[in-house]
Amino acid sequence: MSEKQVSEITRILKDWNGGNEEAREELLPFVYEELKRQARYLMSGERKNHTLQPTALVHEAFLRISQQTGIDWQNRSHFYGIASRLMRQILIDHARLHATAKRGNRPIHFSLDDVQISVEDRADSLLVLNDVLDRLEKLDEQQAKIVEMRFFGGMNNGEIAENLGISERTVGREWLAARLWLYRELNTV
Amino acid sequence: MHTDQWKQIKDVLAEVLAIEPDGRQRFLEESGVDPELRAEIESLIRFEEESSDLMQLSAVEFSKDFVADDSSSLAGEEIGPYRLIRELGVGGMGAVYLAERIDGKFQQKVALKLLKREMNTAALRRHFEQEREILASLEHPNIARLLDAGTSDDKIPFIAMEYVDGLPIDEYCDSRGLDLNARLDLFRTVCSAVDFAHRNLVIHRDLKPSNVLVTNDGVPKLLDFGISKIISKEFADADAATITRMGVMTPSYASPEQLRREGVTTLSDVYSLGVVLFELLSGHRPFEDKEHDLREIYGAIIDKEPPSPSSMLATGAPPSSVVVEKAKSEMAETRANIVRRTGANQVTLSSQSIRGDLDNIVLKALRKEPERRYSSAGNLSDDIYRHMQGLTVTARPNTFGYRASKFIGRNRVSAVAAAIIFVAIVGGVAATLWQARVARAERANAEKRFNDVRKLANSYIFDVYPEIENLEGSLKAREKILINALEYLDSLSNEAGGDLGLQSELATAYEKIGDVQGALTNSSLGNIQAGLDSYGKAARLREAVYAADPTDLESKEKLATNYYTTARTLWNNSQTKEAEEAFERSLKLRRELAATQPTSVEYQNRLAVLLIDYGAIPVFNSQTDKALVLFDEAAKIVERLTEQEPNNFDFKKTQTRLLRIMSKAKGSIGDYDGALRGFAQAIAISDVLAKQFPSDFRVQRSVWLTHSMKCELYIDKEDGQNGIGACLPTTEFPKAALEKEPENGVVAYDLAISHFNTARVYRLAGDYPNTLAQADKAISVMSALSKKTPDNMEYKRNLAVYDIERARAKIKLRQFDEAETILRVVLDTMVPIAEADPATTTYQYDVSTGHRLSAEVFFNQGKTAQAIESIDRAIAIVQRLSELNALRETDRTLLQELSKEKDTYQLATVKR
Repeated sequence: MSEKQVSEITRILKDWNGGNEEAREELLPFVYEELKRQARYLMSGERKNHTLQPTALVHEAFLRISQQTGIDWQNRSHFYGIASRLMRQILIDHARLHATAKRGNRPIHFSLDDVQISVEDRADSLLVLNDVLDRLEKLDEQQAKIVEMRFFGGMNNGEIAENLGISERTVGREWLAARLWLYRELNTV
Repeated sequence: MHTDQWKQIKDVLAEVLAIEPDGRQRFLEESGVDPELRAEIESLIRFEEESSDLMQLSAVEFSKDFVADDSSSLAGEEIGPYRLIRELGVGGMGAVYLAERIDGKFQQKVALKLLKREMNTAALRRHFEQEREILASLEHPNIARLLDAGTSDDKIPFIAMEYVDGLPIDEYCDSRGLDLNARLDLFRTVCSAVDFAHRNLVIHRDLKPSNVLVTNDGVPKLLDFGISKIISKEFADADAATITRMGVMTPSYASPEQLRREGVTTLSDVYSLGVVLFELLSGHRPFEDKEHDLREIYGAIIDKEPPSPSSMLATGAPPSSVVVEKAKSEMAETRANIVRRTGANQVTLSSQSIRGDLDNIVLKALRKEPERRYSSAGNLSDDIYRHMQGLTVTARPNTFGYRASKFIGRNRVSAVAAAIIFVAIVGGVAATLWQARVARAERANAEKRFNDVRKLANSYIFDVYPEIENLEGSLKAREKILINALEYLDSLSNEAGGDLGLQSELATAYEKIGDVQGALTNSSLGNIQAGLDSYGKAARLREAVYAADPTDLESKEKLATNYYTTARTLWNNSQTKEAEEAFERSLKLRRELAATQPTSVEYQNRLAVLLIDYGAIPVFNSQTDKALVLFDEAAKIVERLTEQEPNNFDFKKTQTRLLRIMSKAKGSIGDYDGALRGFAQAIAISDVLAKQFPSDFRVQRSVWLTHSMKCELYIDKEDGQNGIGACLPTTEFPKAALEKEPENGVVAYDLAISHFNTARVYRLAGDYPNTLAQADKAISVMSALSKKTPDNMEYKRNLAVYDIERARAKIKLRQFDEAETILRVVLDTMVPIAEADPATTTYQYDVSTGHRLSAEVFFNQGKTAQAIESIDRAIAIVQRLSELNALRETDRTLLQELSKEKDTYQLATVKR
C-alpha cells in the first residue's frame, strides 16, 4: 500500500467508526485490492499440498490494513463479512478465466476430497455455484449471506452470527436448509 | 417458489430434521402441510446424507489451483524503488520480474528477483542474502551483475540484477546461423564464466541454454545463480515422487549425481556444460529424443551411455533441417555425412566435422563418474581450443580396457573381490557360490565406504565450505554440521585399516575440514584449535601412508604440505614454538623431495615458499640472523627458477614474497636503504603482475602488502614526514575491497592495520589529532572483527596496540587522565595474553610499552611512586627480552632510555 492509500483508508475507517455507513462502500476497493494481493501470494505455487484456510487469507488482509492505518476496527466480523463478499468476487473472476464454454454439461464438484478434479472443472463448478447462490439470494438473502461468509470467507457460525446479529443456533439451522437446497440445485441442473 | 413459501418450507424443514429419520414421514403426514410444500421438503430431506460434505472445503482451497496459475500478475506493483513490468521466470522461492526504476535515478531496466511472500522466513531470507553475496562476489563480464538489493515496503527482500536482453544460447546460435567455430568460441566464453564462478567457490547447478543468454552484441551472460542453487536444494530434499512437480525444470541438463541426489560439485556444472555443447553441435539433447517420458529421461541420464553428438545429427535431427549427403565416393568410410542446416543463413554443421575430437570432448564432459570428466570448465574449454588449433585433445573414447583399469585403480579392495569371483567361476566349482556371495558383499561394502568418503569430501569442499564461509550468524549450525561430519569421518577412519587409498582420501577430507575450521585466509569460524586437530588427524593418516612406502613421492609431498599448512596455522594462532617444529618437519621432507627431484621446478618452488614463510617467524621475533640463513637458501632457489622460467607467474609471486620479507628483515637490523631497495624491486615485479591479473584478488593484495611493509619501514625508521606519503594510500585498497565484501575478515584486518600504520606515521610527524583519528578507525574495524571471534588473541592484541598509539597521542596532547584510562585497558588485555604465550616476545614487548607509558603518565600526574613502579616493570621485561636476544636492532638503546626515564622519576622524588 502506498502512503497515500494508507491515509485514505485511515480517513474512511475513521468515518465509518464515526457512524457513517456509506464509508464502508468507499473502503471496498482497498480491501478488494488487499485481498487480491493476499490471494495471489498465499495461493500461488508451492503450497498445493497445504490446506489453505480462507480465514488466514482474510485475516492477513485485515491485519495489514489495521496495522498500516493504526486503526482498530470496531467490529472485526464486519470486516470479515465484507471480505467474504469480495473473496467471492475475486475467486469468481479467476474462475471465469479458466472456465470452459461447456459449463453445465459436466458434473458439478463440491464434495471436494477428490483431488483429481481438473482446474477447468473446478472453475466451471464455481461459476455454477455462483449462479445458484444468486438465485438463493433472491429467495433468502440472509441464507445466501451465510453461505457466502462460510464458503468464501471461511467464517465460523459464531462470527457469522455476530455479523448478522442473530443467534449461532439460527445460523446453524439456516445453513442446514441452505445446504440441502444448494445441493439439490447443484445436482439437478 | 416464492420467498414466503421458502420461509414456510425451511421452518418445517428445521422441525423435520430435528426428528429421528424413521419418525419424519409420520410427522409430515400429521403436520398437515400443503402437499406442494411437503413434496418440496421431502425432496430436500433426501440429500441430508449426501450433502454433508458440501463446502467442507473452503472456496479458497477449492480454487487455489487456478488462482495460483494467475499469480504472475504482480506486474505494475512497486517494490522498493522499482516498478514491475512483467514476469520473466519463477523459481522455487522467488520469481524474477522485468522492472524499472521509478525514482528516475537511472533509466536502466533490471531483472528483479523477489522472495515469495510465503517464503519470507528467516531461513530463506538468509539464503536470499547469501545469493546476494554470491552475486556480489562474481564480477565477471559474462555473468549477469548484481545492481542493488533491499526490501520492499512490506519487508520482502529483493535483488536487482543486470537485465540481459538476449536469446538463449541455442536459439542465438541457430537464429544467427553461427558456424561451428563461432559456436565453439561462444561456448568457450561460457566456460570461462563458469570457471570463474568455480574459482570463487560458487557452483551454478542449473546450467542450461535458458540460463545462458546471448545479447545482440554476441556477449553470453550467465544468469540465475542463487535460484538454481536453491532449486537444486529443494530438489535434493524432495522425494522421488515429486519429480514431476518440478514442472518446467527439465532434468535434461542435470548430471547423474544431481538426479541421484548426491553431492553436487563443480564437476556437475561441467556435465551440464557438456549437455549444452552437445545441443549446440547436434541440435539435440543426449537423452531426449528417444525418451519422451520424464522418468525415462531421468533413468537414462543415470544409467545409459550417451550417444555421440555426431550420431544424433545422423539419426535424430528433425527432417526439415537435415540433408543427407552421400559420402564422397572416394572415401573408404561408408558412413554418410549428415549435415544440419540451421538459421536464416542456412549455415551447415556436418557430422563429419563433429565426429572424432568433438564427440570425444563432449562425451568426456558427460561421463557418469564425475572424476572422469574434465576436472574443470577451464580444462574443457582448453581441450576445445586444442581441437580448434588442430592439436591433440586429451579426451579419449571410452574403452572397456580403460574402464576396467580405472575401476581396479580406484577400488583396490573391490578388485580383489572381483578376482575372487573370477577364480570361482573359472574353477567351475559349484561349491564356491557362497564364496562369491561373500565377495560380492565385501565389494559392496568397500564401494559404499569409498563412495561415502568421496561424497562427503566433495560435499564439504564444494557445498558446505562456501556456505560456511559466508553465512553469518549460523555459527552453531555450522559447528553442528562439522561435529557430525567429524564423527562420521572418525568412524570411517577406524574402518580404513590397511587400505592406503582410503586413508589418503580420508586425510584429504580431514584437511578440507581443517581448512574450513581454521582457514588462514578467513578466520570467520575462528575455530583454529579444531582446525589444528583435524590437520593432526590428517597428518597421522598421511604419516601411515608415507611409512608404508617412503619412496612414494606423492604421499611424501602431501605429508609435507600437511605439515606446512599446520605450521602456518599454528603461527597464525601465535603458537610460535609448535609452528617452528612443524616448519622443521615440513622442511626436512621438502629438502629431500627437492634433492631427489632436482628437475622438478614445482618441488623447488614449494621448498622456496616454505623457507620464506618459515623465516618470517624469526623476523618477527627479532632473530634476524636465523631468518637470513633461511632466506639465503630460498634466494638461491628463486634465482634459479626465475632464470629458468622468467615469465612464470608462480615464481614471480615467490620472488616478491622473498624480496618483501627480506626487506622487512633488513629494516629490522637498521639497513633502511637496503630495505627500501628491496621493496622497490618487489613493487616493480608485483605491479607487472597486478596489471596482468587485474581481477585476481590475491595478486592485488600482494601489491598492497608490499606497500604496507614499505610504510612500516618508514615507521621503523621514525621518518614521519616521508612515511605519511607511503602509509596513507595503503588504506585505499582494503577499504574498497571491504566495501565490496563486508564479510571478508582478511581485508578488514588489512584495513585496520593500514589505519594503524597511518596513525603511527602521523604521530611520528607530530600530527596528534590525525593520529587519534586514524587509530579510532583502526579500532572500529578491529573491534568488529574481534566481536565476531572473541577467542582470537591476535585481534585482541591488535586492539591493545592501537590503544597504545592513542595513549601516546594523548600524552603528547597532555591529556594524562585519558591516557591513564586507555593504558589500564591495554595492560588488562595484554598481561594475560603475554603470560599465556611467553614464546611470542612481541607480546612481552607490548606489555613493557604499556608499563613504560603508564610511568610517564603517572609522573606527569604527580604520582611518582607509581611511575617508578611501572618503569621498573618495563625494565624487567626488556631486560629479559635482551637476554633472550629478542630485541630489535632499533631498540638497542631501549634499556638505557628506560633507565634514564627512571632516573628522572627518582630525581623528582628526591626534589620533592
